[in-house]
Amino acid sequence: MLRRILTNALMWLVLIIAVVWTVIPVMWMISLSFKTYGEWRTPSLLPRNPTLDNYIMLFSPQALGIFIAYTAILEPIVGPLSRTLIISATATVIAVMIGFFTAYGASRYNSPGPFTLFFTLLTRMLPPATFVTPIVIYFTTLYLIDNIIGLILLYAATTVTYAIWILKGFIDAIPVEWEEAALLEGASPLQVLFKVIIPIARPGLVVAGLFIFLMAWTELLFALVLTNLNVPLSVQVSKYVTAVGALWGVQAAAALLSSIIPLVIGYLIQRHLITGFTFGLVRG
Amino acid sequence: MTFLELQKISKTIGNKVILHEIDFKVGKGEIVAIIGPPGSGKTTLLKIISGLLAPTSGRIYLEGKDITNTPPHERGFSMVFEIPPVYPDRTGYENIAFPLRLKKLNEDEIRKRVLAVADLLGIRHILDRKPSTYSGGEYQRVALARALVTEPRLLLLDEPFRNLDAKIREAMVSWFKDLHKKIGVTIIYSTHDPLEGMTMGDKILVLLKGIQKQFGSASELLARPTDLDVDEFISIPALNILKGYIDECSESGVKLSFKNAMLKIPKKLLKCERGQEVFVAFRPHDVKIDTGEGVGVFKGRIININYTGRNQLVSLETDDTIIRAVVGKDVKLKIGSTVSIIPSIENLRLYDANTKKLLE
Repeated sequence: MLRRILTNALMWLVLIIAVVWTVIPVMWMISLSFKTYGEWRTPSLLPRNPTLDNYIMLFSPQALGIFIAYTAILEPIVGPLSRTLIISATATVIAVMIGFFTAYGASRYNSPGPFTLFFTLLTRMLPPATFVTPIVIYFTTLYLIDNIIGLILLYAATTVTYAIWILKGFIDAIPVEWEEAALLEGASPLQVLFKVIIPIARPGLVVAGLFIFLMAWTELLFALVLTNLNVPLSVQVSKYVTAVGALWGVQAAAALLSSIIPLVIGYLIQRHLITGFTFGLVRG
Repeated sequence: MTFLELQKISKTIGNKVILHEIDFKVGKGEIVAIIGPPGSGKTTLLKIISGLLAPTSGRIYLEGKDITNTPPHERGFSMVFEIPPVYPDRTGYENIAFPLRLKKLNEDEIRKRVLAVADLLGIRHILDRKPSTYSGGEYQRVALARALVTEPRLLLLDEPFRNLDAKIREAMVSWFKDLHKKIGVTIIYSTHDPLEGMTMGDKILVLLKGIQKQFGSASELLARPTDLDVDEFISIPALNILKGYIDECSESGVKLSFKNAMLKIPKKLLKCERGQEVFVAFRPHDVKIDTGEGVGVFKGRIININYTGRNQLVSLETDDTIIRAVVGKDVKLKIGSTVSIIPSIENLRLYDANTKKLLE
């Protein structure tokens, strides 16, 4: 009895620590984004005079005169936000599409062989910093510096391996007979792909897509190196704290905005994750 | 009238012979059951008939027309695979409608045909549900409905009842026979269970290791198996096999000798040689047990008794081998006691020990 109470107590303690560990910074960020300039460096969790100034600053840096000295270099958040949306969405679509077809080929025709497939993971085995320099050189020659197309291509290329591996698992689980049945009924190979495989593997496509989207959304290193004026959101968030001065509250507001959008997207597509990837009655 | 004919269909993959000269004919409206243990090539054969696989050699004729190179969807066949193609992401209705949508029928026609086949199979009430909610039997029926909705000329079924519990399987088999009477479609059906195959099939093809061992009706198969392998495969419970020698051949019959026993069979063999080694085979159902002294051919000690509902399956240790006998449940037997074993002479078969072929 005593042992059970102790185990329970210990379990709760661990849980509380874990929750505090993850939630405190988020709460602090939320609180900070509503604090006034004078309060930014105070430790209280609740803002004394809640204000929306930081958010107004995000969208129109010139609206509030006091920060003009810093904000002259900042563009409204809408620019970086829309850039990041375009970059992440496009990179996700490209990576998932290429990943799907590769995974399908690997699963059904065993091409290009398991070893080659393993090599696609290589881009994720090196620390990204090791290939920043070659990428910068390539991108300079290709006029892709400070160009969102460059980031789209880069993100799609470095995340496609996740799409391949996630989707291969899903496609492997679909019996070949299910394709053969459709072929027998007169479906073309493309119809088999679009009317059988893709609908059944949809949860896999959603999982891979969400995963890649989040990676592209939060990527900072390459975005920082490869952009100058056309910065994505992650770079923009980092810009509010500069050598000239630190706009902690504005940065908190930007960070909050940056995390809310993936949260909303995740919420909207979660039903696709839950629905029917149950092969239920297929027993060995 | 011959509906479908297979002529010397062979399939090799690499050096491996999967099927060797399969050759049989199917009449219109018949059920042909392909029976064989797992790995005997049943699925490959069905896929070749459906057109999903090409044979290495041999030809297939449908109503006299060579269809060996006809693409699968132009043959007008349906197939229910071992893992039935019931897609988990859509409802039963959409699963059954799938082949009709491929044919681009209009929505009214699709609805009419899906509901008609659903009524026929008694699954109208589950059409709106997703497959994850189905029971094993419902799942199979939806798969069957999908195969039947296109009104196929030939229905291929690959172990359709394999994943079902014994009781449900039994119910499905008789339900399916009734259904076949109603719709009369020609069916080729595969199963690893010889009893199920013999119950279902008008004709039975015994396929062992890719070789067509025998093709005939269930009664032909039971009365005259072409060789010992077939006899062994179709016998449930397992066949009794004794090794012996031919002692004497005469007009009136054959005399066989075993280690400690003699047996006279009043059957004239076409070819009979003294000293020829033979296998004597008889089914456990064709064995009588006598607790009295002296009448039996073999003496055996009871080593095991299993109750199988109405009967008991008795294992007896003899000088030669272990013999199994099916005995009525009322007969009182005791493990360890010695009894006489009397195989029924009429239901006993002789096989050449080298070729395993039936001796007649």
